[in-house]
Formats: sequence, C-alpha cells, structure tokens
Amino acid sequence: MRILVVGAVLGGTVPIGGSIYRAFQEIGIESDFLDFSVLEGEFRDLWTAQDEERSYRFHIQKKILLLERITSFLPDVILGIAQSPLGDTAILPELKKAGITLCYWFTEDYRIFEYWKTIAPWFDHFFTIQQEPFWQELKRAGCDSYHYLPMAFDPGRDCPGESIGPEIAVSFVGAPYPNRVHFLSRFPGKLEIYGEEWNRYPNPFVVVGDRRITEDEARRIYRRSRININLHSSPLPRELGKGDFVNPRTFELAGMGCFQLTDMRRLLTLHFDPAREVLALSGWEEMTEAAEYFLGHDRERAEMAEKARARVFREHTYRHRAQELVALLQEGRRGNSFIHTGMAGGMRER
Amino acid sequence: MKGKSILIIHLSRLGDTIQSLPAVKLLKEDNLGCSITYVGIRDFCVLIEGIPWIDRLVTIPWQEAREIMGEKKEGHTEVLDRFIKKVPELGEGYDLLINLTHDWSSSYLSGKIDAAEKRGRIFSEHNEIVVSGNWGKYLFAVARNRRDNLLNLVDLYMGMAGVRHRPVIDFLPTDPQRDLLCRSRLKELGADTGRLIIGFHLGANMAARRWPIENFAKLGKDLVDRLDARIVLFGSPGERGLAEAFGRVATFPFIDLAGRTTLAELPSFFRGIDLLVSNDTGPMHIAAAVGTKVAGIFMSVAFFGITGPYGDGHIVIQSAYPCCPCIDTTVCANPLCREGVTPETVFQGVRVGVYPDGTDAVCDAGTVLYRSSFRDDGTMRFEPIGGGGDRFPPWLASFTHAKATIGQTLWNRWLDMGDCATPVGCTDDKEQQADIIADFWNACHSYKAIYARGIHACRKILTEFSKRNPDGGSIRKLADQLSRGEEEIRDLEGPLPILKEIHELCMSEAELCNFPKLAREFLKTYETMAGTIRSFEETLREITPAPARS
Repeated sequence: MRILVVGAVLGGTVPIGGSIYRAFQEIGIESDFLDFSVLEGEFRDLWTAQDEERSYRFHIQKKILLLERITSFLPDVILGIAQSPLGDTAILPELKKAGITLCYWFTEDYRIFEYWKTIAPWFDHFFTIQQEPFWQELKRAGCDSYHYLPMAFDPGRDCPGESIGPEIAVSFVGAPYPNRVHFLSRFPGKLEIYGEEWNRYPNPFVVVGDRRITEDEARRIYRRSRININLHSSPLPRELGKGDFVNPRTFELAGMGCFQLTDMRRLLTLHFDPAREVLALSGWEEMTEAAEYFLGHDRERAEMAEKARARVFREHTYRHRAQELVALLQEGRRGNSFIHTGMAGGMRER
Repeated sequence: MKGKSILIIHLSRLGDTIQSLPAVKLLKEDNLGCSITYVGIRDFCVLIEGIPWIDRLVTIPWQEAREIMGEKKEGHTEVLDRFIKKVPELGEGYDLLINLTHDWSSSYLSGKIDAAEKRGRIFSEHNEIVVSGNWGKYLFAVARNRRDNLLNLVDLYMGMAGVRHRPVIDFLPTDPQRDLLCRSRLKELGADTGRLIIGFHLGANMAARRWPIENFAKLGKDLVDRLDARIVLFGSPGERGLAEAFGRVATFPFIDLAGRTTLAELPSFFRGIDLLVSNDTGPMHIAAAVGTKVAGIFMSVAFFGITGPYGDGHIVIQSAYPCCPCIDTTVCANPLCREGVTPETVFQGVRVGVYPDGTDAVCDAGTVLYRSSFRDDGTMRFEPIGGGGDRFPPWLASFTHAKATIGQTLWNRWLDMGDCATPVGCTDDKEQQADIIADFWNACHSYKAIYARGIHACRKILTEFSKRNPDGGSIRKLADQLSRGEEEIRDLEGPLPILKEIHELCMSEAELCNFPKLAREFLKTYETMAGTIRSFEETLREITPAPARS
C-alpha cells in the first residue's frame, strides 16, 4: 500500500501531515508527503495583496503540485489533512476513477469549519475527531464511511532548547476564542498568555499576543510551565465543560509529560482518566481552585503528568493512529466505526 | 367550613413522584379541611393511588403524557387545550395551584387552569413563562448548579408547597395484608428473619448511571461472607437481563425477584428487607419512602444533593470524579466514574447503613460517602462520613462541599428558613474556608455594584421622563447602561451561579413594556436583588470573616 499524505498550507493542522507521514514510514508503509506549508509565505502575501489574477495562479500552482506528485508517486491511497488543498471536486472523482482510495482526516470542529459539507461525500473514508451528531450530519451530506480517529502525539518531533527559559507558574497557549477571552480574563492568579491576536483584548496576562507562536515556542512554554491551562476552543463565551472532541494540545501536553488543567470533554475519557492523568473540570471556579492547589503540590502534579505521558506512549502516538488507519484500509471496511484501539471502554453499553 | 382547594401538577417520573409525597402530606396537615387534587402520570402514580392525603388523583397515561410533555412549544398548545377540556378536574377553579414540574407543557397547563394563587413555573397572562415564588425559582436555578445546593428535592417541594419543614418518615402507606404476603414470600424463598436481608436494584434508566453488574456481584459476595447477609434482587421485567447477567457472575446463593414483582408490590417487599443497594432510581426512593435504609450509588449525571434518598440514616456513595456530575450534554463516552466506585466502598456504606453505631466507613479514592440526617430547621442534609480514605482529587470533594455549605447558608436565609446555622467547620482546611468566604464576599461586591448602577440608572430615567421635555439622548445612554449591566451579570463567574439564574428569572417577571414603565419594573427587580445581596452580606458577616485571598 502506497499512501500520499497531503498537508495543509498554514494553520494549526500543518504539523499533523508531517507527523502522520513519519508514522506511516515507521510502520513500514511506503508513503510520501506533499507539504503545502512551503507555500505559506506566498499565501500570506496573496492574502494581503487581494489580487485575483495572482490568486488564480496560486490555485493552479497548487493543483499542478498535487497532480505532479500523484503521477510521480502513484499512490494507492491519498490522505488529506484538514485545511489541505484537496477539496477540488473536479479532480476528486478523476482520482477515484484512477482507483485511488481517498481519505480525509478532518481534525477540526465541524461546527466552526463547515467546508466538510462540500468535500466529505467525495471521499471513500472520512476520519473525524468528533462522533455524533457530526456523523448524522455527514450521512445527510452524502458521506457514508466515517470513522473516529482522534488526535495524537508525535514523539519524534525535534524541539531544540525545550527547557530553556525561566519557569512559568501558569500558562495558556492558543488563539483567543470567545470562551478563552471570557474565562482567562477572570483568572485570579498569575497567568501568562501566548497566542496570535490576544493583543486585541485588554488582558493583563498577555505576554505575546501580536504574532503566531511556533510549534517549538509552544513546546518550550509547555515545558517551562508548572501548570498548562488547556481550554478547548468554543464560539460561546461562557461555555465550559460541554464540548466533545479532544484537541491536539491535550495529547501534546500529555505526551511531553507536562501537567495540564483542561475543560471536560465528552470524548476525553476514551483517551485519558480525567482525575488521574489530566485534570478535567466543568466549572471555572473548580479550575482556578485546582490551579492554586496544584501550584503548591509538585509531587502530585508530576505524578499525574507522568501517568498521562505513559498513556500517550501506550495508546496515543501518531504511530498508533497510522496503524489504526492502515488496519481499516487493509480490511476495506466501510460504514462508520471506532477505529481507535485505546477506547475499549467506550464500546461498552451506554 | 369548606377548606382550601389545592391542585398539584406533577408530570414527572417515578422517583420525583415519590419525592413529592412528603410535601403533599404536610400540605394536608397544615391546611385543615383542604382538598388536594394531584395530576400525575398514570404509570408512575400506581403507588400513590388511595393515599389518604390525596383526595383526587388525576392521571394521564404515559403514552399521552409523552405527547404533551417536554419543551417543544409550537403545535402543542392544541393538544394541551384538548387535554384540559377532556379532564374535568382541570376545568375547575382552585384556591392554590402548585406546579412541581419544570417543563414547558406543565407551565402552559398551569397558566390555563383557573386558580387564585399559582406557584412554580407558570405561563403568565402575557404568555411568558415565569417562575413564581422564591422556592420555585431556587429549584429551577439549582437544576443547572447541582453542586452548589445541599437541599433535597423533598425539601424543595415542601418549600414550594409553603409548608413548614419537618421530618416526614414512612410517607408511602402500604396495605398491611400485602406486606404480610410479601414477607411470607421472602421467607419462603429463604430470606429468614434471623439474617440480614439486603436488596439489590441493579437497573437505572441510563447505562452510564448503572453500577457494573460485576461490582454488584462482588459486593454481594462480601456481604454474604462478611455480614452473613441474604441478597435479594429486585427489578422490572425489562431488567431481567441484568438479573441474568448477575446470576452468571455471582458465586453465592441469592433470591431473584427481578421482573417477578409488580410495581404495586415493591413497597411491601422493601418493608421486608434491611437495606436496599441501588443506583439513583425510582425504586431507591420507594425504599426510602417506606422507611427502609438505602445505600444509593451516584455517578455520571446522578448527584446526591437533590435526588438523594430522603430520610434519616441513608447512605450515599458519590463518585468524586472531578467531572461528576456530568453536564447532561457532556455525558462521556467512557464513564470511568462507574469503575471508580469500588465494591469495598459500597460494602462500607452498607455496613454503616445497617450498623450506624459502628466504626466510621473508610472509602476508596474516587468516592465520598455521605449519611443523611435531619437538621434543626426540619430539612434533611447529607454530611460526609468516614475519613481514612485517600480521596481523590484530595482537595476537590472538600472544596465543593465547603462551598455548597457556605452557599446554602446564604440561600437558606433567602428561602426564609429561619436562623442560619454557621457553616464553620464545613471543611478541615481553615485556609480553604477563608478563601471560599472571601470569594463569596467578592461576588457580593460585584453584584452589589451592578445593582447600585442599575438602580441609579432607572431612577434617572424616571426623573428624565418626569420632565416636560425628556432628553431622548440621555435616556438612550441610561438604557444602554442597563443593558451593559445585564451583560456584566451574565459574564460574572464565581460562587453565586444560582443567583445569576435567579436574577434571570426575576427579570423575566418584568412586564414587557416601554420606558418609563420598564424602568419602574427594572427598578423593582434591582431593589429586590440588592436586598438579596444585603442579606447575603449579613449572613457572611455572621460567619467568621477571614482575610481575603491574596
């Protein structure tokens, strides 16, 4: 089986492409990676230039790059990562006709990013980080083969100078979604906030708010922080503990052995114990109380973080996801399924 | 002299129906000569037929009730109107109507029925839903803030009924003849009176709320081996599968009555046992209602605060998972809290339930044990018991309990529950208690400031309108100030989430009108709410103040 991974041009999903590609290689799958992030600079220029002619040329350039790679690598399977330029509904049927199995890993919140509606029906397998009611929606949109494939941790990613810098008591890294703006402005203690566009909000805790935080920078901040607040994004300002999917940061922090305080998610217990491995809560008061408590309890913090790290290495690396995905493709399974192996408990009666 | 005519609407399930009975009983006691009509769902009212303090029982079959219950609005009014016409008792006039149900349909029904006084969630004459009375508002507000409340649903219903709180024991009368028959049947099956008889109710309406069968089997083995108990299984015909699964793993003899009793027989059978171990279910409340001790297992969305068994000496085994109880929409895909409640902890709960004078229970990490008792103010309260347990996360259970205890002290005064018990000692951690009190003070200050600004703006609007030529611009600015204040309240986080809900409920009572009348309506609400904050502050002053959190 030959798998071509098509990555995103920019944004939070860019690293996923490289990570899953390396995982395929690790498990002995012939694979190739079309890394569209090399076009990020050009894309940003276009964004500011607002030049239709150049935009069109850029669009054609992406198509050519994709087709060139397909004809040179001759994949059996193409795996598109969320935000990758693999949504051209003129090309997709032609690829299918050519006998290529089309897969897409939609690693985003379907309620916020709605482009899945257009592309999902064209794919043979659509992998999601959410379950119902998303699956019902996918079905209605004409996609009949969808599978739960949660995010993961990439232990192979290099991060130079990970532990350099002074210790941070409590930190948050991420974009200012309405719920984060609301809750993080009400944090009673000392907090450091890092993330593009935070400078638009009057929050005294913002340390870097005028530019994107790179993956390496984020890892360094995680490592330096005694407590990492991982507040999942929500468009609803006062929403806490009501969401479903588990974000990449949960796996990243856990895999790095960094202590995290997160908001409860419906799917979290498939992957982590919300009391022993990560601390997941449904109330802001409990969150702030927990931050205060764990700042003063180094041993308990370290024990929890270590348990989370061990769990990730047992069940939640990209290697695990690659194996799960390949197993499904080899079986030629269709329909909907939980392909994630570490969720036996979730299959039990509810 | 003709007594008061009272109509109680309670289109709820079995457990809630049973929990309403003490309030109905006291209502009858406190209103001599009154006539009580109770409207309920037929399938869940089987047990309350013939209860002496209900004069007329009007029941709706479950199938029909499902059509009219719920929050769906459009299209249902015709069904409900037809229903009112069909049931003659709903066309009568009443002195008092109490709607104990909190859904749209029952509010609509309550709005349509003629009554001099109405309590609970009611459709107003302007077709707006209002919750009338402090107790009704409180019940509605705590539904979404269960961890902040310590009052049991029975006490909340008593409050809504307007009766003086006092303990009610054995509030589900049974037929003595049937009691005897059920006892004999238990005896025939081998439950001799010389041994401890422990009932197990294995089911629950949601799998996440069901303690694993393997755990029940392990508990049964321990009870047989260590307390020489006899185990009796109870359940509905639909729960036969659970009983069979239990049979496959149980390694000791037991009596299997699951699916082999009628609902009407269940209270009599429960009278014949020493204690019932149950998930949070209707049968758990039936056992409590006939005065049988209960060890209730609470996890997932189940939380002991409101729906724990009513009475003295019941035991609750509450999962201490930090995410427990889950928000309804976030019931997780893999409820680890079910596994966290160990058979040993439930065994300890049963032991102290049956032998209350023995040593304290030691519970495992992941669980907290509580025991119920009546307080001087006549309400029931669950207090943590045991102490040797390595609770996890160690700070959270005590933080939650301490916060709820202090909060309850504030709310009890608002609910007119008489003198407040000082909640000092609600946690062993003095610093934690001081921090929580400081948080309450801060929350009061925030609300107080918003209400003061609101009152000021309303008064200025009224003054402006009293002028010959009111300044429209200035009125607009003041109106903006009012809406900013409302937004600020919605944004407040802190230890008074119940107050936020009650604020919304009070605001919804304001008549839909224009300025200046609207300013008068808002002024009235803000002044009332400011009064609430003053009473909170008075109570907080009575509690030993502590230095604020740095």
